[in-house]
Amino acid sequence: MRDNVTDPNAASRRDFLRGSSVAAATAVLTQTAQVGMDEAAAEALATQQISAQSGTISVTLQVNGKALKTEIEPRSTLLDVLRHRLDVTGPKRVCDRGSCGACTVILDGQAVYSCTTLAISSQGKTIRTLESFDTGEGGVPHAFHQNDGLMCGYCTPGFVTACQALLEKNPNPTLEEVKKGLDGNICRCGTYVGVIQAALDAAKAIKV
Amino acid sequence: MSRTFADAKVHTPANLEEALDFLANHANEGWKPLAGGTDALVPIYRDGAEPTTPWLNLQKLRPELRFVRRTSNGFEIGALATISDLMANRDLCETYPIVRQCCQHFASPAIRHRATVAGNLANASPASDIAPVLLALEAEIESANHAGRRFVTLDAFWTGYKATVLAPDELIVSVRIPHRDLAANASMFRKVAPRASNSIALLNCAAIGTRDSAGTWTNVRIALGCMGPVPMRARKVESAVEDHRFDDTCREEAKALLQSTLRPITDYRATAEYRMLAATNLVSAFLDRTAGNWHS
Amino acid sequence: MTQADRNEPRRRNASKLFYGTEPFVDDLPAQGDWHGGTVRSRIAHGRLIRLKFSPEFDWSQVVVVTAADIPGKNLVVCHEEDQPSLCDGTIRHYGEPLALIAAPDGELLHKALRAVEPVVEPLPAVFDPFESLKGETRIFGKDNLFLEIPISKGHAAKQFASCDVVVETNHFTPAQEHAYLETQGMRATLEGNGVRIEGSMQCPYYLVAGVARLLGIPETDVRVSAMQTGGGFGGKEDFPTMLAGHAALLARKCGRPVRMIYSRSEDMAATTKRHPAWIRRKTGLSRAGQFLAMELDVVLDGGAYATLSPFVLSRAALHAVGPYRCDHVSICARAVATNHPPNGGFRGFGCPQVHFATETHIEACAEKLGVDPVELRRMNLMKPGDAMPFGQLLGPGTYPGVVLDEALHRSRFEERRAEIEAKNRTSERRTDSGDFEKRGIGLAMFMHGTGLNAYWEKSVRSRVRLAATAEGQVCVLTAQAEFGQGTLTALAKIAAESIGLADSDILIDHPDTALVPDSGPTVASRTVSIVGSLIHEAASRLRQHIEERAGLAAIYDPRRLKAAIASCVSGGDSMVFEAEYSPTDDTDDANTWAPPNAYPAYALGCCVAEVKIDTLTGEIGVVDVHMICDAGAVVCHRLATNQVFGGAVQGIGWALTEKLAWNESGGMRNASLSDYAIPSAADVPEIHAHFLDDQHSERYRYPIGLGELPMEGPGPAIANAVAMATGRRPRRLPISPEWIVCSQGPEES
Repeated sequence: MRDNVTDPNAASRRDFLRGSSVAAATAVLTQTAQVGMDEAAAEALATQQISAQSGTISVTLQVNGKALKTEIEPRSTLLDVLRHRLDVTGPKRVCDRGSCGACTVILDGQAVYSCTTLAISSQGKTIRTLESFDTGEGGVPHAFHQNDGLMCGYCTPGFVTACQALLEKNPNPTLEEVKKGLDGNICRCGTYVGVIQAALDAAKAIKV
Repeated sequence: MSRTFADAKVHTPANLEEALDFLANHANEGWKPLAGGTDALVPIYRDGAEPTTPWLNLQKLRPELRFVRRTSNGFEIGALATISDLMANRDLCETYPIVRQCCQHFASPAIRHRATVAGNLANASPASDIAPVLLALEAEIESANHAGRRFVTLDAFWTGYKATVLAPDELIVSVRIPHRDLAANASMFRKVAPRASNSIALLNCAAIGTRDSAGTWTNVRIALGCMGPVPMRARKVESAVEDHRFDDTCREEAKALLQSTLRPITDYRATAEYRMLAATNLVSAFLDRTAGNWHS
Repeated sequence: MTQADRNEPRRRNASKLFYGTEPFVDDLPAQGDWHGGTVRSRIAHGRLIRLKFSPEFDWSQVVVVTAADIPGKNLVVCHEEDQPSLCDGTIRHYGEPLALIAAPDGELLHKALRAVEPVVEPLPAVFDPFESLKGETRIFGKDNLFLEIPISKGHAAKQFASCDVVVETNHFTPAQEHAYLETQGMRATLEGNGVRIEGSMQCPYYLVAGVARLLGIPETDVRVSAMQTGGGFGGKEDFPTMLAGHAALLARKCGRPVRMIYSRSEDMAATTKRHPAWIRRKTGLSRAGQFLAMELDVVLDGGAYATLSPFVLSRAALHAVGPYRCDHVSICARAVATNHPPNGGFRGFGCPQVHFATETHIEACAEKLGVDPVELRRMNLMKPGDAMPFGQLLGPGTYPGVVLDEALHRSRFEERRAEIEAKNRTSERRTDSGDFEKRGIGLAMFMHGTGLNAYWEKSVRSRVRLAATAEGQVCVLTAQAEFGQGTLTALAKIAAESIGLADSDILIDHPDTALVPDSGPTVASRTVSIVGSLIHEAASRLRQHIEERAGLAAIYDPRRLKAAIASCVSGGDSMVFEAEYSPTDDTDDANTWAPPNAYPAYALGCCVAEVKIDTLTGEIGVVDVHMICDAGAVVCHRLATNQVFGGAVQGIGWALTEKLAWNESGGMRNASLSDYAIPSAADVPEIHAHFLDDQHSERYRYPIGLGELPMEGPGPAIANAVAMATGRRPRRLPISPEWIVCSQGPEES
């Protein structure tokens, strides 16, 4: 019986295609390794001081490359802590229930809704918001600008973030993959056409 | 404005054993397991009510419980495996294409990254997207308390709307899909929802089976969501078509049996009449398909 | 997007939005602000006996404001003076504000809100406008009628007798939630003797008037700054007046800045919606297909207070016949009070409702006559000089027929229709392939008069100002808010081109009433048309001034012009130029709601939509949309194209996915973005936007206004496409999978 989650052949083939560096090999292995394995270390680091809690506790979050420490209630969402404790106001509060994507952040490489993620669960993980993205011509925001991928701008941080996360995982998305990848974000102004084109253009620009 | 809860309680056990011990000692305090949190955390922002549920944060159990693997008996999905983890497991998705189809229609990418399979089942919503697929695959729930483990088949897992057999001191450990359908040459997953993504189903339907070149069905299993207080198997229909050539008589019988099985409700999303008709259409379209290797 | 590729300025404030550095009101730093919240009614109709404050809560930690604390007039300033800012003793709708609370933090505020219980005596409530007209439950005036607008031309009643064919249909269009992604939000700070308001809004000067009246202070003591606004669509036209008043009342009571940010569920439950409309349409035709007589009844559910209902009704009545000619017309349009929360402005403003009725009714007429609905339209479309029912003649260059032809051509309508007809015949239950798909294609014409109607546009007396700087740049000062339409970009471009400066030498920002004149509300597709024309006028004054000072040559080269402006400023010229709206026509002052020359110009459109229907589940998908818009000159193609896409998406939502449900108290039941489904990227088909704007006609020298127009076509076009696919005509929106699968018979009553 083939256990596809640790397939060394697949890894070395891709490893070869990527130029066979140790770093690339590690990255590939991490991606294909059994999903629990890389979690173990992260979780151990992450959550040393969180056990039974109520009242106010101290947390340190890795936001956009900086370790930020603050006092929070244990049930605070990552969104509230970012916006109201750490002054990271890019992610927006819109739907209050994980249905619009405006609060999207990248947590350990994955797009998640920060409104339904606890801040305490985000310790020890890398948290990235659009404030940290490449502002140059190769960046996702530039592609949005060029394609007028926004109108009122309120969904924009979420879209830019979801797009960034999508392209980091899949640098060559097809139109369908872009649509599927961004379908957790909604825009009431209806800028989808520009947003999708921006994602496709950004994919090209990143490769240049 | 932020919502904060000065008197909120969150407990984060270090491993499964600690979690089960904690629950054994606090069985009557209403601790609610928190896995991906994509549904459990929604009440935080609800106006009016103050959420007082104390949460048992399971994140440190991930090294133990976040896995998707093939065993000699089938597939095992750890209780903290996410929907994305299911989609990423090629073996599982190629063996059962309906798993991938379902996952692709499950909420949105950001939710799939956090939401766990077990959490979705424990949530016991009749509109769960993954439930009909796992029902059709005859999945079992492995649960544990401090004293030991037990297995319960998924169709016996839900006891009513938003209710399960789990005792207050019990946690899901894994969801198991037995090797039973490796020969299936037909399967279908359909979710009917108001919009194309990130939407709550009006109804959903999963079906799997084998149809030979003579048009005879075997190993047919059909499950539906939003057709009663819990996701349900259409067992009467399954037995009626099993080992039968699906012809007009059989179709009419299957339709009648389906309609006697299902108990959809009318709510503001859709009427019972609509749910019944659409479900009947989907099931009979599935059974109508001629032989061949197809999965849609 | 071919037309959008022109070398045009990019959206002005875009980059700040991409990096999250353009603040919306809730992004402002905490600054010690208190948080304000609202105690609301949970019944639809009744008397508020008193508010019971729980003794278990320590009320010294917070401040409470009730109607008794209002220093000025307890009123939300709008047209009718019927809506109190805080409940005056009678509750008229679910979610009505009863009292306000401010607290130093959010959690305390929520605790306080939970500790207040309204003691009420319920009264019978009425949610159906036809029931309401019977007058058994009193909500507004003597008869619950906010306004009735009769329009009559010729002798319709008599004329029907001589028609070969008479077709009568009933139509219903539903409420629609704006679902702007940024909820209503406002911040009030005490400043000098008065108050400063910052927040999310479309019409800053409405807030000046509203807050001044509520607080009983002069308008000069109220300063309003519109911030970047996360979507409006009409939902931030009138409502922010109420919210600003509430924040100001709380700020005065607690002596600190107060921030009020609605949660999504509160916003959806308490704020306005698109007016549900019941429309009866009766048309008499000749055998050849000429429209000979028409009778129309339009009934809008206005909700519990008048708010903008009279204005919406006026636009609905004036556009009720659509771009068609008919000599004998009788229109009766009524806005009726019910115990629903007030309905208000929403992109299209009455037009989507009447166009839906007209464009689906015409198809029924064509069917009855056995003619091609496209030909029936073509035969009856107006031409310049044709009179509308209220007397206005269609202006020069306004050719609906050209728009129709362009749409047919670009969408290959007739070819595609024939292909689909052929395919639908063969795709009956093909069980082997699992082909359970039907397709349909439909079209709809629509039109939108620009600006407020002539009477109201005149009464606003809009003023704009251009002020030059010592560097030779020019500030554009208007009260127009930016909420995604591209106001700042488009007005700057108009200024740059009218003055002759580079785009980068135009300065423009979100309006602050301390700095900008009142150029009227940011509504009614009037920004680039009406306000843009005033900028143009002020710009020509500036150019004339420069020409007088520096000679003709100075105004033809942007760099010399900039230098000349700078030198005028340093030479002591004030270099401030204003323009004020003064219509050339003499508007009949008595005719408030149907003035004879209602709008200075009409934008036209035609939408072609193709749908696919899953015959098993009734799910409807839009696969292709063509939008042909004739809105005069297009200022920025890129932005205009986005507007068309956005309008089309909202139209698709209104037609298909957005099903608004009411609770037993008449409030919105599915008040969340997971239960109220606005379209996502996956619901949006390919949309082709095309503008008629490059002809050498006078019509295309100036913009006519585009903001609302594209919302108005997809509803009826989709309904007509569904009719082709199913053989049954939808008479109500949204068209549900349920209707496809469950209902029998040719149409819905």
